[in-house]
Amino acid sequence: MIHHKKVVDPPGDARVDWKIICDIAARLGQAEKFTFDSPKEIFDELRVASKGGVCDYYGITWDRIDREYGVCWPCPSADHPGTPRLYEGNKFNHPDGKAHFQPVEWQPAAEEVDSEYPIILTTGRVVSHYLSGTQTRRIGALVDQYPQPLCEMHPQLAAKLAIAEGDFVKVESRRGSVTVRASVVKTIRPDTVFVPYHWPLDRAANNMTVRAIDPISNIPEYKICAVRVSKVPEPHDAIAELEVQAGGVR
Amino acid sequence: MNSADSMEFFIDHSRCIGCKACVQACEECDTHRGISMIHLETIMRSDSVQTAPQICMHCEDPICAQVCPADAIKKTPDGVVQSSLKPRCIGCSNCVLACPFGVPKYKAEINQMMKCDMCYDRTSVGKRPMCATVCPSGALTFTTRENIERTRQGMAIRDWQFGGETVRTKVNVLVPRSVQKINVTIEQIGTTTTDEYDVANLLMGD
Repeated sequence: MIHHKKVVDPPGDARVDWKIICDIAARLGQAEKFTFDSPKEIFDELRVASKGGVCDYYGITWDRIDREYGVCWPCPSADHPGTPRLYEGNKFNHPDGKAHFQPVEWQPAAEEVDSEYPIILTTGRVVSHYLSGTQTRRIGALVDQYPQPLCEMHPQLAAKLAIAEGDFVKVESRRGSVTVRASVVKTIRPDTVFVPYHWPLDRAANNMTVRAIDPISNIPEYKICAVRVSKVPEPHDAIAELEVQAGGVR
Repeated sequence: MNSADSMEFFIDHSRCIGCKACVQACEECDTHRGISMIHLETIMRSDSVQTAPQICMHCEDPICAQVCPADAIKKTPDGVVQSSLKPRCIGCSNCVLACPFGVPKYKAEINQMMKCDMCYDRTSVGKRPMCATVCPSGALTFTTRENIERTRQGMAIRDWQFGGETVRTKVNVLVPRSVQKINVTIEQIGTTTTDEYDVANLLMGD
């Protein structure tokens, strides 16, 4: 746990998030439960709330975080040094002290490939960007590193589809599509293409993904769906052009 | 805290994820603001996701200094090869061509060569180089040899063979334990030999 210190004051009439949340609580008639004057006080409540739990922060104080340049949890008491690495000495949290394998029933993907949509799409991240990109696509050096989503495909698949490095391709599922440039790489399975998900609207990988969730965790099934891929001419991309005019968030 | 003398630089290319945190951190330094002295190379994206951070390796007998006609590149008594001295550097770029690691870069705006000096302002007073402080994966590490031997599977070596040229560097690289020396031969240069890592071939091995 580390302390990200405030660098600038909120511009104009903008306000810090925790004050907005406290005001919402007051409007909901719960002001007495949100009587905070600082982030430190909110953190102290988190400490107390986590006491005795698996993720125990109780021993981590604001002052300790600053003094020790961060403290690793779990840290149940003020004299506990923190836990940089979990389960050292092969001691786990189960009553018998061991790690337990959890068997799960195998299920096929919600949507499997067929003759119409013969290629597996998997979506994910690239190292230069974070989640929806609302932070990282505003930072020039990161935009320069990876300005646009690419469709990674194996040379064997690219040859079959007559696609070359840098060609524009349409990646299309039963639900939607993106048109992006191809990146031909040997680091992916020949039956699978990859499109990162950090971009919105016409470049959103989730235009294609399937509406299915894991039955236990409810995590969406973004890692597999069926698509077809074809070479297309360079698209006219009105939204992309607007973004460039607005300061190059592209 | 260990004394500055026992701290060494270790590069573990197998840990590099190509995030360029090192490049950004280097750029922010007051002594060469806006220009990164560390180079982050993407080796060949079509074949591999391998990336490689390149700091100055600080050769024991630095070739950059040998070929400098103006004697503008100096090595400190503790073995750190400095960037070029402004009053001496004539911008001839002999060093740029001679360095086997591609470290020195000629900056036309200032007509001078600039390169990594292992953050001498920091390391000479016991601090770690900026890049090693920000690397999230331990690809760049400034620590003791004992610590590396205790925590890493590979072996730290600093002997290189570039054709007929033998080079010993101050900076270590982590390699598999069977490797004694990194041998960069003519045959390897420009040859793609990574088909064993082609995912299609890996799948056929199942």
